[in-house]
Amino acid sequence: MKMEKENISLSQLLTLLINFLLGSAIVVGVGGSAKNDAWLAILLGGLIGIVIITLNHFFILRFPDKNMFQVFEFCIGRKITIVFTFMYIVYFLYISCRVIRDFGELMATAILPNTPIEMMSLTFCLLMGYIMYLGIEVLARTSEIFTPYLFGFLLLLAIFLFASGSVEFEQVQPILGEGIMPVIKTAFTELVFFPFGEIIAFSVVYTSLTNKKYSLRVSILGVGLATFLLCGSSLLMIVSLGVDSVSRSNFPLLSTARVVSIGNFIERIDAFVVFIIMLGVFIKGSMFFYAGLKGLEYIFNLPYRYFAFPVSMIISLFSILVSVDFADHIQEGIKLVPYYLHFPFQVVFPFILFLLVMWKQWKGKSKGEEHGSKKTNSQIIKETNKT
Amino acid sequence: MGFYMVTLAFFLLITLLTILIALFDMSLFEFSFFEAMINILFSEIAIGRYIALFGAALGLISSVMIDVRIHRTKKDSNDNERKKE
Repeated sequence: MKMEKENISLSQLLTLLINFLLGSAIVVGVGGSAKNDAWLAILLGGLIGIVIITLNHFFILRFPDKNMFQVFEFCIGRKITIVFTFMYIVYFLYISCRVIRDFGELMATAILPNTPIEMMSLTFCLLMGYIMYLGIEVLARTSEIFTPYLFGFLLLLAIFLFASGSVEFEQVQPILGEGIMPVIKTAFTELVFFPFGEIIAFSVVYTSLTNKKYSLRVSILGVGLATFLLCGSSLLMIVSLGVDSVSRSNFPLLSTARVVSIGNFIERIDAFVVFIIMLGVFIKGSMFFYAGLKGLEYIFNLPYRYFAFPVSMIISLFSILVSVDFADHIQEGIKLVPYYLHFPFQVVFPFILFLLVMWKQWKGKSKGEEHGSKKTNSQIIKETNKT
Repeated sequence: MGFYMVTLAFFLLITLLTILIALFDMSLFEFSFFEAMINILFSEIAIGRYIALFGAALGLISSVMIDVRIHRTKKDSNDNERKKE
């Protein structure tokens, strides 16, 4: 079957990255372990995120027309790659299920308490399935169109919080009260995996990029902007609610929005926050879904659109079955997912792939020298892309 | 690739995700594998169970339909090629 070539622009990549990183991170809040210094931990995490996206470009620049699965195939052959790909598909879809569950829990507990979570999950996944059936281009355009609203609503939220007098800057003090270690620990043990390490899902997107020359710069800008927004929202939460309330709240940004009250008239601006969260969750869930679909496309040699609807229903089902309740969901997210899923799939396998690519290139170089022709690195890369 | 690949993928993914979730439940609640599977299968109750099952059934039916359509398209294109020869 013939696979369709899709194109996404740099601005679309930028918005996808921003929404992806905000995604569920803005729902549950990140960097809570650093308490008052969560915003500092997020800033440090953002720097790590920039390093991660730069490392990802090692593969993207060497194999511009190959996604991660195809690079694996180039290094270790198709049969072993199929096993790896299946593992990655399960990982991507599992994370997609978790993202949808985050959103479902938010809606079920805070916005629509009388609606079954299953119904919200089903409708959300139907929409994701439809968008993915239409292709990544449609998702990218959706992201591009709605992102300005996200910026606008975040800005409005900040203005309303300041205007209502709910902001107390003393709450952010003492800065680094317990030293720098909690900040470093939070950044390197939590934020490096969630949300920044999850950028691994983008390894299947870069092949669709029209202008690959500036992809690194745009990606760094995207990670930087997302870090800025996450840091800003974290600061807003701390200065309006205080650290104790933030740590007790399941959805701190929503709680922050509920604090707004200007002249007993402008109140309950939850809709702004729900919009921001909904957009982020939609893009993040869909990106993981797309990464899983690309894996299926690779294994079965069928266009990924064929799998879009059935797999969206699997995500809907497992977003419910993934955990018994919200407490269980959070426990799994803290105790198990980073160590058993994020670490191997975000660090170990890409590192193995890096070593394999280096070995392949070194082998190609030494073979060339044996035959008397000295090849440059760029020539080897070009030949690599042809195969 | 043979026929019914979408349905095969559907069942494979359901199985693999169920195993993953069961493994996590085993680790978190110290369940045996059998207990974890029962926990997954029977944790949903009342109307929620029917909505979840409805979604799964919808996915299964759609995957079978997609497979049948792929099969038909392939068959038609093969027949056309034979006629041309």
